[in-house]
Amino acid sequence: MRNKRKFLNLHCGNRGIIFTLDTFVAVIVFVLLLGLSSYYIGLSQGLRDVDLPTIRTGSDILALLDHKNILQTMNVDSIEINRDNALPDLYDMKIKADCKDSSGSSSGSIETLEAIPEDKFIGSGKRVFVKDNDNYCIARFFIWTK
Amino acid sequence: MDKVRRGVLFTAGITGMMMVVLVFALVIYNNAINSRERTSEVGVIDRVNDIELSIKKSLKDIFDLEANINVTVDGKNVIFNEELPNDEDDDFRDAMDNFKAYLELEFKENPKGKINATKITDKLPLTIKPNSITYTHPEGFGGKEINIIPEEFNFNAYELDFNTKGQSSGNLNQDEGHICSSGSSCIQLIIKTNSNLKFNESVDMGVNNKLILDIGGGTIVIKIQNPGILIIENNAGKVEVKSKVYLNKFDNKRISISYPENIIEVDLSSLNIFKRGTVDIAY
Repeated sequence: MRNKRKFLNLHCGNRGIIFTLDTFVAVIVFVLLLGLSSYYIGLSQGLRDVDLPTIRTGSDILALLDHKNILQTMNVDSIEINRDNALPDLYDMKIKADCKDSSGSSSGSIETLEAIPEDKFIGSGKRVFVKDNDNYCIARFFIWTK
Repeated sequence: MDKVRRGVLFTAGITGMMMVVLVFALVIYNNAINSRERTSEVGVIDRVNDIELSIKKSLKDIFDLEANINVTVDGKNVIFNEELPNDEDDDFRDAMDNFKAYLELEFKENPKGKINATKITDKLPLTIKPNSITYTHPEGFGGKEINIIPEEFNFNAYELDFNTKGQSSGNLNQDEGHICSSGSSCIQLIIKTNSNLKFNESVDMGVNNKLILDIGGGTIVIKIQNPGILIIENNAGKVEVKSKVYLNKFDNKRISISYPENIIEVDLSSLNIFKRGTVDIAY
């Protein structure tokens, strides 16, 4: 009886078990809460998937080519040279353009040679431009960081 | 007992701290979701803006290619140079209609693009801003008449130079004229043919004035009506009209010449974005 009382009143050598159990539960709660916190913070990082500066860079380059009447030439070499002169080294960019004449028939298309990667964020956009008095075109850009 | 209490407090404290960390993490997560939505919307608005700007540039390119009107801003003055009648009217109308059809086909929805081409092609009105002076063709673009229509006396002078393109240039007769020396409606009128001065007087533009210039076998009639509305009517063969409007300064505001308002509409109904705009032809 005395031993049992001692056990229940924690006056004998069973403190180690209780301490271990207490620590175990505390660690589980601690790790669980920390894990949940890390999980949500990790999710937050993953949500930042729209890279506006990259898209804006692509849009600016395409606008520049339009305003300098480079797109209107529909010459891939000329477009690539002028694009590379203006594009920051950090980025790669692909340009496509499709034209139609006043009857609605296709009147030419061009595409620069870059392959679009599948494992990166790709920014894209488009603009309309007038090639000449009878041909209207849409140019599209695809931009990504190297 | 004291030790037990301390232990409980320690455990409760650590748990509380971890709950705070968890709440912060949830707040960060929630903010990230909101931030992504806002960023996506900003991205879409940027793209809509790009499309609108490219449509504006295209419409300006069509004007430069097809309208056969040269518009320049010379300091605080604006010069329109155009043949009268203008033979390029049909080409301009065709180009505008074709571009409108192309655009409305390519941008059927999200975003939906629209051009009010008839507002332009009918009389081809061009507005000088900020003075709100309209250069237009009241008989229709391609007709024999040009009007310059101010809303008030907010300009300094008109200068007209007619290139007669080989036609003989005769007398300038003042059929109805009110020469003046002072007053807000007393504004200088200069008329030249082939850069040779024919008339240079201050005229009361608050009342009707009429001048008739003999060109070849016909005449060019120049009328002025209140408040300084200038009407050029060519009853001779084709001439090139250089119309210079000397403008008052408007607190150094930029002078621009544009199509009428609300020529372009871009509608992205999925995000409740609706934009209307016009096109600057020169500035």
